Amino acid sequence: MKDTLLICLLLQLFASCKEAHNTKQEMATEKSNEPLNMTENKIDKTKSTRSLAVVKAKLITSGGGEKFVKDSIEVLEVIQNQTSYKFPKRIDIARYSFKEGIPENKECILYLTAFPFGATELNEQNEWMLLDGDGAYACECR
Amino acid sequence: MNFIVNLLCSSKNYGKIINYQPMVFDDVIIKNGDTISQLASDYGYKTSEWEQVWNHPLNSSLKTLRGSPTQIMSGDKIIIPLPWKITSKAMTPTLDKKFRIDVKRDGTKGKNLKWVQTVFGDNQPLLPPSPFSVDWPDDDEPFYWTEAEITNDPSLRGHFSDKPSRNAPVGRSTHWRAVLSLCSVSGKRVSIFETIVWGVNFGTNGVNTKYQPRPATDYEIDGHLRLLSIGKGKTQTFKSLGWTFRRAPKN
Repeated sequence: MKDTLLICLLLQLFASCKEAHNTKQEMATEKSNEPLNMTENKIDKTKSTRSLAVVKAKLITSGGGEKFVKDSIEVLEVIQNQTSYKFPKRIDIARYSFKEGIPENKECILYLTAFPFGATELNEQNEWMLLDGDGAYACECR
Repeated sequence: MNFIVNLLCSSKNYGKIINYQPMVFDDVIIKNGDTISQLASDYGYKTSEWEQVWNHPLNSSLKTLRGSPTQIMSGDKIIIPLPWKITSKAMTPTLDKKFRIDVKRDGTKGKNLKWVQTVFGDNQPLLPPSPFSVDWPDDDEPFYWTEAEITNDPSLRGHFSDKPSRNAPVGRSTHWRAVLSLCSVSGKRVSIFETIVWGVNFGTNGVNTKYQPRPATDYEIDGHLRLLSIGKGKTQTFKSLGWTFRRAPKN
């Protein structure tokens, strides 16, 4: 009887610990989808409304191509994400080759939308592009 | 005789005179609901300039048959002259030591006037993997700008921009070339009529030089048409989608 009670108590303890851990994880995920402290990561409302995602990132390398090039970025923080896509640490982002790219050596807020231009949701390859394909518009850097 | 006719026709004393020089054209089959003014607008004219199409000598048979532009019928063939030209083609250096090209044409927006480009990448990877490609496969149509891009910015109908962004591989330079055409579209038939070649030489030492735009030769146009005909969009070949390509006829 005592053993049974002990086992029940241990099981209950284990269950309550797991629940607390899950709640903590959900909070972390939720937090990453909410706009952060506006003084620290102030995002443009107009641009963010037009974007599927807003991230803080740094340029790793600029790609080659014509009409479009793909820049490789390191994602530092996901500020807003209206998709179910989980951003990896490194991702390629398309932009028009004849428009400005992502500035080098700077942390930037990037406004992202689905590729190609005009797409309202991500394609099977989960391709992203800078908003309007233009770094001058879609990047806000310190 | 032709000289005298042209001289008289182009004289301002004749009021609004249309100078019917030999030119390229598209032959368009009229569909239900089409009007001469709308067709003229679709092919780069102001709607008020519809008479330049209707009164063209190549439409004399249609005029005789139907009598009035309001009497045209589905199935009639109308000749639409295409006097449009590339009016500027500027290559400008960019901060990253590459070159951007901007090409403009005259005429109005004209929804049936479009740009097509084929690219020779030399030793650079293209999409799909091949030394040649038809611009970037962001959709399944052969035109440089997608419908979404044009809807967002209709001025793109008259304006082409590109910038090859490449670095030469170790040991040799890259001679990147493109053939760009202004074209007229009727259904799934593309008729090219103003074709230029341009490019960039990407040097091994990071020094890049522009290959100034110039008119394409007949040989280059043949190659350009062949690439278009075997080209592939995002998911399918243009041929499988029913697209055909030709030089616009000339009278």
